Formats: sequence, C-alpha cells, structure tokens
Amino acid sequence: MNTLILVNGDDDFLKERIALDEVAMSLAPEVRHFIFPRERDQYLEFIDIIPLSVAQRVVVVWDASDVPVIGDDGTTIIVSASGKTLNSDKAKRVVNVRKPKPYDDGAEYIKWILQEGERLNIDLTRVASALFLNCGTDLRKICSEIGKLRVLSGPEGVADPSMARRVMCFSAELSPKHVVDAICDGHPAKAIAFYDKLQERGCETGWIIAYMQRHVLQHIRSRLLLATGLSAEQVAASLGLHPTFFRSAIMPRLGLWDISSLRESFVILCDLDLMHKRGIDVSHWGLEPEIIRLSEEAKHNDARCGS
Amino acid sequence: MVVAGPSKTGKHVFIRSELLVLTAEQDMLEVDGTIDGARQAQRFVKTTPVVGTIRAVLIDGRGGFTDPAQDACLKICEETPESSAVVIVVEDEGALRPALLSRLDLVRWHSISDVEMRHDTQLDDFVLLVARGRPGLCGALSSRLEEMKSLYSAACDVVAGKPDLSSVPRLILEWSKLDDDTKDAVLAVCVTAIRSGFGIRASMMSQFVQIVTSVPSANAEIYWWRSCVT
Repeated sequence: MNTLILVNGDDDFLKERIALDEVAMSLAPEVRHFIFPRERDQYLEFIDIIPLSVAQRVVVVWDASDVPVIGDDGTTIIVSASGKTLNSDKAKRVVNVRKPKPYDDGAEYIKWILQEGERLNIDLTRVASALFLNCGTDLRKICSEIGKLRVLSGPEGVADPSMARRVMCFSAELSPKHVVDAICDGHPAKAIAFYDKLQERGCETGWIIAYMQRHVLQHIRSRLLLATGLSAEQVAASLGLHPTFFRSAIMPRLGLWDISSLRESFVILCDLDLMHKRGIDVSHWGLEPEIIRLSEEAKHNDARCGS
Repeated sequence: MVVAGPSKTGKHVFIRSELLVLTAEQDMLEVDGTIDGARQAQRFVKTTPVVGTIRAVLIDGRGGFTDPAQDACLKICEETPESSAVVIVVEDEGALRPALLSRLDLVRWHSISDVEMRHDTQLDDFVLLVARGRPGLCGALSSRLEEMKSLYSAACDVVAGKPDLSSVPRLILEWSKLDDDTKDAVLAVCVTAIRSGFGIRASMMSQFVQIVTSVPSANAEIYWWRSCVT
C-alpha cells in the first residue's frame, strides 16, 4: 500500500518546505536527486511504471485540487494542496501549515523567526524585528536572510545587529501607509526607519506628504463631523469609507491627537507640499520633524489613555 | 501700441479682429511673450507685406512677458519699419519696462457695465455678479451654471466660517480636468465669495485661489479643505 501524506495551508513556501522535509524522511540523500516535482497528470503516468532500481520512491504532487489515486507499489506520495483543504482516510499524515498574521506589529512573524532560529540552532533574538522590518511578510525572503546569518554567526550561533546590517537586503514591500501606521502606533524610530527606507528607494517625497495629508485630513474631518452629532455611519459615508473600516481603522485612533495639533500638522504638511512642488527639498528638515512630532504625540496620548 | 486691461474683457479678441481688418492674415503674426516669440517678431517685421500694405505683429503678454523678450521688443520698437504695426496685449502695463513703455502708445482697456453686458444676450444675475464686466467669463459660467452656483454657495459658507465638512464642490474635485476658461470662471466665483466676507476665513479662501493659480500641480481638493478646517 502506498503512503499518502497531505500538506494543506495558505503559504506556498511553508507547504514546499514541509513536503521537502517529508521527502528527506523517506529517502536517503543519495537518491533524493532523482525526485522532481510532478503535476497530477504526470503523476498518473509515472505511478504506472514499475520502479526498476530503487526500493523506495517518492512523488510530490504540487498544487493538487483533490486527492490522487493511491496504488500499492510502496511509493510515498506527498500531496501539496492548491487552495482548498484536502483530507483522506487513507492519509498517513495530514500536515496543516498556517501563515503568520501580520497584525499586532508582526508579533506572529517575529515568533516564527525565533522558532526558525531554534530549528537551525542560531540565536536570532537580537535581529528578529529587523528581519521582519526588512523582509516584510515574505517567509521565503526571511528564510534566505536567516541562511546568510547562519553562515556568518559561526560556531557561537548568535546573530547580532551589526552583522545583520552588513548582510541583510531590504526587500519588504513598503508604502507611505507603513509610515502612517508606525506614526499611529506611536513608534517614531520605526516611522523614521520606514521613511528613510522609502527615501532610499527613490520614493517621491510628494507621495509621502500627500499620504500624510490625507490621513491628517481624514482625522480632522472625522473629529469635526462626530462633534456635530453625526453617527459613525454618517461620518463614514461623508468620508467615502465603509462603516466597518471607519469603526475598526479610524475610530480607535481618533483620540491619538489633539484637534489643534492635527490642524497645525495639516497646515505644515500643506506648506511642505507647496515647497516640494516649488522644487525645495523638504524631506529632512521639514517632513522628518513632523513625523516625529506626530508619533510622539500618538505615543503620549495612547499611554495616557491606557493609564 | 500696448493694450492693457483686466483679463477676460476681450482685449485680445478685439485687437486681433481689428488687425485682420487692417491687413491680411498672411501679413499678421501672433506670438507670445517669450524670447522665441520676440525673435520671431523681429524677423517678421523686417519683411515686406505679401498681400496688404502693412505687416502686423500681435504680442500676447497676458501669460507673462519675460525681460529678454522685452529687450527684443524694445529693439523692434526702436527700428520699426513704416510698413509695420506692433501691438502688445498685457493685463497690467506695470509689467513692462519703462524704456519699452515710453516707446508705445498706451491704450487702457476697462471692464464693461452690466447694462452693456446684457446688451446682446440675456444673462443670469449670478453670471453678472461673478463676471463683473468681463464678458470672457460668461461662456464658462453659463455653461455650468448650477455647479458654479453651488460652488459659490459653498465658498460663501467657508468665508462665513460655516463650511460643509461632508463634501467638496464638484468643480473643485474636477479641477485638474477643467479647461482654462472654466478654471478662470471657478476662480472668479471664489473671488466673488471672498468679497462677501472678511477676516481670517476670507484670507484662507484667497490663499486657496492664489495657490491653485500659482502652483498648477497643487491638489485643489486638499487646499480647499485647508481653507475649511484650519
């Protein structure tokens, strides 16, 4: 009877890794190079052929939408599901993988990075946040960076930030939204780090200013409209937002800044925008202090509300 | 000759049609107030008329008249052949250098009265209020009359310190897609609203007008909100 192993999950990298681990458990390293990924149709042809020289063979079926036919020639069949979850009574093992969730400041990703460090016997405690910041939510990129750190960390097996800075490649998908989110979370250093990264990648300063202008304006209008006695639904409609989004993304952040501070910030951002459009470089002396001011105020008000 | 007067009062259209009465189209050249335009005019006045008896040059300085262009025009005015006529159209004669101005006959152009505005066509009172004797604005104002009225009402609310925080007038949202005539009409509507009030709010609205006029890439919607919420 053939052995069937099912791999379900929402991340291709994790499924691929589980499948290759299963292959490693089933086959000796010398014969492993004979395996190659197979489509379902190829598998059906392949499974009909009697193995000639090896006692054990493994077939990996990628992106399967259903469980394939199982023969009885002793082949191990690893099936990586495409989208829907596969299940079968004949399966020896069903492995479910789950991609970490990016919210809550990437806490699940950082935990995953630390677990990955433990798996490879390397201490990533001091670089886990930087890894997440640099690679974003792409697990393949994170793993590739960990691979580099593993080589450099030597026999001590401890990765330190200076070493990481030397070798890590910034590849996270960044947009001004990340700067604004870091401001709202009250993390000035993170906001400035994202801002610098955006600048390094040649992102238009005007784009960042425009994003911040929209954000500040949205908060000013929300505050003023709510003060007139309108309901959250009515305010959301005025802003052109879905009520659920308004309740979950805008309303919890409304108390982070004082209205006069928001107005002041809006005027400053408008002035910076005009200067930028007139060809004056405002990226360092103009925009940076404003990012820091807004994040510090958010941090302060958030702590006050919390206490 | 230099013709100076407020925008949208028909200076350019009138002078152009008059020049075409004096001479044929082949003998008339129309250039802008740049150095390239002035050099083109320099070469043109030196040539002989093809059809009529004079060569006419109309220099349109409404969009700006650069110093090098004025220097080149000074040269033309000093050595104008008898068979040539040079007319410069500007909004403010103060933009011309004294040396050039002293060599030209100045014709002041004025806006017209409401009675004269009503002479040919039946105009809405709102159009008369905004146009203020500038017939060139009537077309754009009349073609989108309802939207212009709603913009005026919104701008008056802003100037009075009671802005509508739920929406922006459609003409402001569509600002970047508007043609030049409609943009001029929108600005005239805003200026009319500014005249209806005073104080910081009126000054914020005049800043809006000044910004969208001087910085073409500025986002009109954002600066409208600036005059509403700050």
